[in-house]
Amino acid sequence: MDRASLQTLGGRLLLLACLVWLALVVAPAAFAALAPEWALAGELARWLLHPICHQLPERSFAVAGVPFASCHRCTGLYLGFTLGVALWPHLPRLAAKLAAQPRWVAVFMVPLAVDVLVDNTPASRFATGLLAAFPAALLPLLALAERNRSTIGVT
Amino acid sequence: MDNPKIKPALIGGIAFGVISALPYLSVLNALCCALFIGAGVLATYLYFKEQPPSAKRPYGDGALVGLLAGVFCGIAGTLTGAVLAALGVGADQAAQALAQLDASGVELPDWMRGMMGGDGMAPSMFAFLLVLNVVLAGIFATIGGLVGVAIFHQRDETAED
Repeated sequence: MDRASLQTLGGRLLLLACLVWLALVVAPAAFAALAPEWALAGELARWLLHPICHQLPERSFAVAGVPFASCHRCTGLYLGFTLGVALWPHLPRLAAKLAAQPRWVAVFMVPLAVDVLVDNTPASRFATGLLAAFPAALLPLLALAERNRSTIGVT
Repeated sequence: MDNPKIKPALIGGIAFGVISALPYLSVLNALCCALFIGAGVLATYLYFKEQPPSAKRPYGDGALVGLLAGVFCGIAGTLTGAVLAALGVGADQAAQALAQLDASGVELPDWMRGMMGGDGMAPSMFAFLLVLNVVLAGIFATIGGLVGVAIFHQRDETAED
């Protein structure tokens, strides 16, 4: 697997979408701290994400007392996925190894599942989320690379 | 229903969509969107159960099955939620949203308060929730579909790569 095969236009668009998603996560705190007159926009971002996260303030990162729109674990998942989408194209040898044994993606989710069941801390929730999502980010890049190859093959 | 992707997507999507709207069980979605991701994983599992082994992992197929499952999951979840809200069972998402925004001290414009409705779910709110749930479920079930390919795809070791 070479670097170019994972660097597709779709991959760049996916990275952009991930960055927009992270912006939604920090929006409530960012608006409250930087532009309080736009606090409603931040709260709407929080509401957009409410179906997929409990958003408990005591389990979320906060800036100036205003919590993010997602909890520690979800923030870790989103950041890990974004970092994965950004970094996997620059790690072609590691990507090739994981692509050959993709079941390892599920293994990296085990610490997250264990952390849910045991006494956890903000750091453990964030770290296990980051660890679970980083390898999984390779999968959409492989799908986009596959699509790219088949498109090139057709034309 | 000729497309082999539709049936597994329907089963995975509707099963997890209904669960995501049920009282108590819906809290599972707060665990890293487990239900939306689960819809994609289940759909991909059912899809690959019927497929012969192949040399290459069809990530595109998995993503599509997951996306379809997510769309069905979002529709089933919103419909179930609306029916339960009309029956006075479970959580009314619109009322919850209003309460959450009021608690945060943010002043809502009148048009938005009107859109969210008073008792029950206003049609505009239902449409908005439908789009929101379909988009969110679509995103996370697609990821579930991709994880499903990684786990369930049977590789044909005899075929040329």
